[in-house]
Amino acid sequence: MEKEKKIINRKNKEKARGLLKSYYGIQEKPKIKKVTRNPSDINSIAFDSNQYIKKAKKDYNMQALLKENNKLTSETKQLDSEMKGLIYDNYRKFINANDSIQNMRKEIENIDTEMNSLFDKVKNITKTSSEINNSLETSREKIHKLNNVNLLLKKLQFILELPARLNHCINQNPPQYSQAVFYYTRTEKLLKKYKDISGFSKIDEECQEIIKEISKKIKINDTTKSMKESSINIGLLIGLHFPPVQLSKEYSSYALIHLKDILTQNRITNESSEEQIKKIDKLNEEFLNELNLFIASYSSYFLKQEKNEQTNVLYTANLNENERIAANNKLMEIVEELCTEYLNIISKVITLSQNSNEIKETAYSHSLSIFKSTHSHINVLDALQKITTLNEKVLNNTIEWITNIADDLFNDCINKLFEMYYDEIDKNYSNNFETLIKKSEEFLINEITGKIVPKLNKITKEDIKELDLVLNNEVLVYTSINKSLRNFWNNIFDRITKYSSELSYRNKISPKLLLYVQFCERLRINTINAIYNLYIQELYKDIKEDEIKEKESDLASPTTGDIFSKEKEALSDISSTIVECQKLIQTLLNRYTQVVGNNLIYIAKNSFQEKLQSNKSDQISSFWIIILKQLEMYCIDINKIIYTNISKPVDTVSVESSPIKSKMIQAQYNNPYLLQNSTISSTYSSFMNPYINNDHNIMSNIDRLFTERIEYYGNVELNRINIKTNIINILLKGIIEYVRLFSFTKEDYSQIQLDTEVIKTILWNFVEDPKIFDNILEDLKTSVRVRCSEENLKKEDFGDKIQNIVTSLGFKNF
Amino acid sequence: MEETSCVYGINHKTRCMVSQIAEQEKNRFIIGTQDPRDDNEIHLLEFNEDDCDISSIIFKHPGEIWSMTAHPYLSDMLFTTYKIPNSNNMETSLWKMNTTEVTDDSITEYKIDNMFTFNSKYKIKKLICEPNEGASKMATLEENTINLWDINNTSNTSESLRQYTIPPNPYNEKIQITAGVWSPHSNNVFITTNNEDILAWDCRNDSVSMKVENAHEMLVQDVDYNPNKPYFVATAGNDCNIKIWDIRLPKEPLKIMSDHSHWIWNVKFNHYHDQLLISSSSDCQVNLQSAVSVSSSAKFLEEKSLLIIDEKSDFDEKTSVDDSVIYEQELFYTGTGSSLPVDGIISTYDQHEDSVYSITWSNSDPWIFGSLSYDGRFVINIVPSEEKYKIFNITCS
Repeated sequence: MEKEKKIINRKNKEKARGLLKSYYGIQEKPKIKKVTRNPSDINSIAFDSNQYIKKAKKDYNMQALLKENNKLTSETKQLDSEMKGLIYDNYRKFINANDSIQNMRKEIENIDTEMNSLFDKVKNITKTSSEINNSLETSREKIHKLNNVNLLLKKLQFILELPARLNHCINQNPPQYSQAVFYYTRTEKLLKKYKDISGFSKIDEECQEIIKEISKKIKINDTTKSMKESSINIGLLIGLHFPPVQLSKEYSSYALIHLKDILTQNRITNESSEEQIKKIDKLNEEFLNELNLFIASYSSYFLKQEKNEQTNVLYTANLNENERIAANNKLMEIVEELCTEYLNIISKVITLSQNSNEIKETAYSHSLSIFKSTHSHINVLDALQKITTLNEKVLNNTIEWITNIADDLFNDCINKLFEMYYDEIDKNYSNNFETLIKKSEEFLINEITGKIVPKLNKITKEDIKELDLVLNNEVLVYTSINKSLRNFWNNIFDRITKYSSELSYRNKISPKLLLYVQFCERLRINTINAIYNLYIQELYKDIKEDEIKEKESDLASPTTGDIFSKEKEALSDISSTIVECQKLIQTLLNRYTQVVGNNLIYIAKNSFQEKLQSNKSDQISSFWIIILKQLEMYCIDINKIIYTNISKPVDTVSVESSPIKSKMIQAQYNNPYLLQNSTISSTYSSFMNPYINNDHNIMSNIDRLFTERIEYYGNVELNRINIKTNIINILLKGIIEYVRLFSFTKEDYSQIQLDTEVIKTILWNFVEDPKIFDNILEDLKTSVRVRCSEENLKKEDFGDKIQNIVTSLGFKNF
Repeated sequence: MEETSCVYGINHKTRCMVSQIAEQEKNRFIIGTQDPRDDNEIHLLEFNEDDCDISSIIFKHPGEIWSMTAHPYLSDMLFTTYKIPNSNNMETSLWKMNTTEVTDDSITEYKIDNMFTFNSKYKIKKLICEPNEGASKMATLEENTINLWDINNTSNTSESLRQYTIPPNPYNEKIQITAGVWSPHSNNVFITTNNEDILAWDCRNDSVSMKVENAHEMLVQDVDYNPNKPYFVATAGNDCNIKIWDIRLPKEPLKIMSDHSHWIWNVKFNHYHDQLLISSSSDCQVNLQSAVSVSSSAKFLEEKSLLIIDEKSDFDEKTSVDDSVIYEQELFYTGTGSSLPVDGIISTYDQHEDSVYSITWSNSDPWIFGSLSYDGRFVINIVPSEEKYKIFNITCS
């Protein structure tokens, strides 16, 4: 039974402890390590005295046992005394606790009585307060009434004092008209309402008189007065119910004269640039501010449609719809006129500075500061921006100015390029054309990358940032600069084209034209691309960074996006410029061969003696020598300037497809003409055999059938052989046409045979297609032959003569 | 079948050809040969459009012929400028062609009779006449002088009515008159070309009335008057260009056409449809050009094309990117657009194998023209019917 109780007790205890623990949030401590229960350890719970004694008896000897005994006794005594102390302590604490509980019980009884008395007192207080309140109620109402009466009396006092006040206002120095009008307008209605009351009407009359006096003094047609003063006056007059239409007219005419005065005062004449800037600053300060003020006050006085619209003026005029429109138109008209005049002054200053300043840099900074001042002034004036297009116009002027600067830079570069490298060519005939072209190309790149692009960068990255109005319109600047660059190329091309079209076949053709061809070729292959890449890289690099940043921050600004599209525009300009350049090269090449060919024909005509036969035997006609000399000079030019020397591969198909020709062609190809002349003549004669009757041109007609039509003034390729071939073709065809206009003799015919053989020998190596060349020479011979009045013409065989003549002529440089 | 050309061959070198101006019914052309060996002929050719064949009558002519002019109202009369056989001198005569056969020893021959020859002190190179039936004046073009004659009253003893001298050119080059043409609009005005200039003369004055200096970069070879538009002339030159001028505006030509690759020797307006031009060149080609923008029908065309442009711009707005739509659109417009003539080459004729020195429209049929190359080949061509319809399209509606 007892054991069961104990167990229940322990269980209850553990339960209570668990609840407490959970209440205080104490986690169940890990179970205490089970200490090995040593029954012989005296400090352990499992101590068994009997076992201890047994063990002691076993382990210790007598002496040790005695020692142990003594030790145990002393320890027991000590423990005994300690226990006694503890019990005493405990008891004392119990008594103390008991005492304090008794004290507390006593004091609680006291509090109860105190609380009761307090309650009674509070009741009393509320009672008295409501009593007081009730007693005061009536007097309070009285106070209120009295207060109202007081206010009314004050107002009345104000009205009674009004004339005096108004007089006071007027008599002050300076007179406080606006205060006076303010007073009057406040009381006006009241006075009107109580007119019938005698005192009031008198006051009213007095006031009216004073106001009349005031309104006489308020003038708006004094144009020397500042805009602010006049605007206030206008407001006052509106407040005084002057006819608003009339007022608006007077106000606007005042403003027109006043602002024009400002403009004329600040008209720019021949002053130093610093003074000009000062003056412009002053002009901007005065004119723009006054104009802004005028617009602002005019529109708030006369143009407000809604009564409840927020205004910053005290008085607004009530105009009807039509009047308002008229007033608005009037305003627009005046503003337009003034703005135009203002812009004229600005643009005049800009042109003046550009004309008077010889150093462009100073002109530039001068103009920049003028624009800066203008921009910053306009930018802050809201009314001005709202109602006029002045900001746009100034912006346009600025963009135009920037375009001019960019154009100027580029044109300078072009002028220098031509001055330094090309204009003097005919005077200082240099031998090293290749380096000249390279130098000029380098110059162009250096000039653009070293001078122009940094300058443009400065404009776009620094200077325009200071111009307030441009800030959101930077894209316009980029557009204009892109355009300037396009113009730059076009100007170069135009200049070259102009040079080429001014050439005359009557004079020797300068190699300049060929140099231009080669220069353009360099541009086409490399320079245009290089310059554009540099340009885009430099000018648009920051934009790109911005773009990337914006993408990161997920913010797309419309302006930079536009500029990005300008970059794309510049990129697409590259290819179109290259195409233009390619076209130009073709035109120049065609022009060169045309003019050179015509020049040679011209020389031939002038030196042609109407007969072919030369005075000396075994010599070619004298006019050929002159032509060949000139041709040689042209060929030297071509060899010097044109580095490409590719010739078309021979059209083998056409050779094979013409069975009759193929033999001859192959013979010609394999054997240089000269050596084979005598041996081949036998094969020839079998074809060419009969110069009889009308059959004599069958051979050349057959030749024609198998050769392509020759484009004499056709497209020329950029290589030495093609240029030369075309020149020679034009020359020979011209001579053919020319000889057909004369009559010849037997001797002339034999001469032309010699001439053509010699020319063939000299030139066959330098033409693209000896077959065509041969045909043309054959044509020349035929043309002379049919113009011979004699019959029985012989085909001659010159043998070694040709070689001798060729060596004696000594042409080497074709 | 209409577009096929008809070829006639002569065994001589030939440089000059004219159409018989006085003949209004038949397509008649006259060709003169140029053979230094003195067996020269005049070929009177008649082209029969229906059978597409050419019949000829051949006359013997003394000396190689360098220039010919048909008499303006006598169809059997012909001026030729020729080299006197075995001499270096030139002569100009009026001939009557006898088309009645003369049979001599069983050889059938036709003969020409010399009516008169100009006095040899006039070194005549070319002769031009007033073009209409009531013609009274003609002019002879010499080296640097021009003489005016009464066409109805000439004999080898007569003196010229008036003489003009061409002013020297700034380069001090030899004056070289190349061509001349009488105005179809006024019987007192004619135009000549020399070196690089065009000069207009008025028979009532003694000096040049209008001129275009440096009209071409090189020698001007030919000039022709627009039959429907006064003051409008076409010139051709050695710079491979055909230029159309308003002679009153000498600074800039109205139009330049450069479709030949060598010197252009002739340019002729169609007598009826002045937008059609033929030109011949020493690149062996003959070109039929349309220059409708500077022709008398330009104003009709403008009215019409305005409509088309309006339609087209509407179309463009709707479809700008889609390629296939554009292609369809092109089809659509080439369909309707083809109904109106445009500027540019209509066709190029390459039947010739030598330089073509002479070209002329037929005097009776507005669509037929002949060309003559140096090798003696004469070719008749007809304007493509497609182009004819286009021209009718403007003028008819």
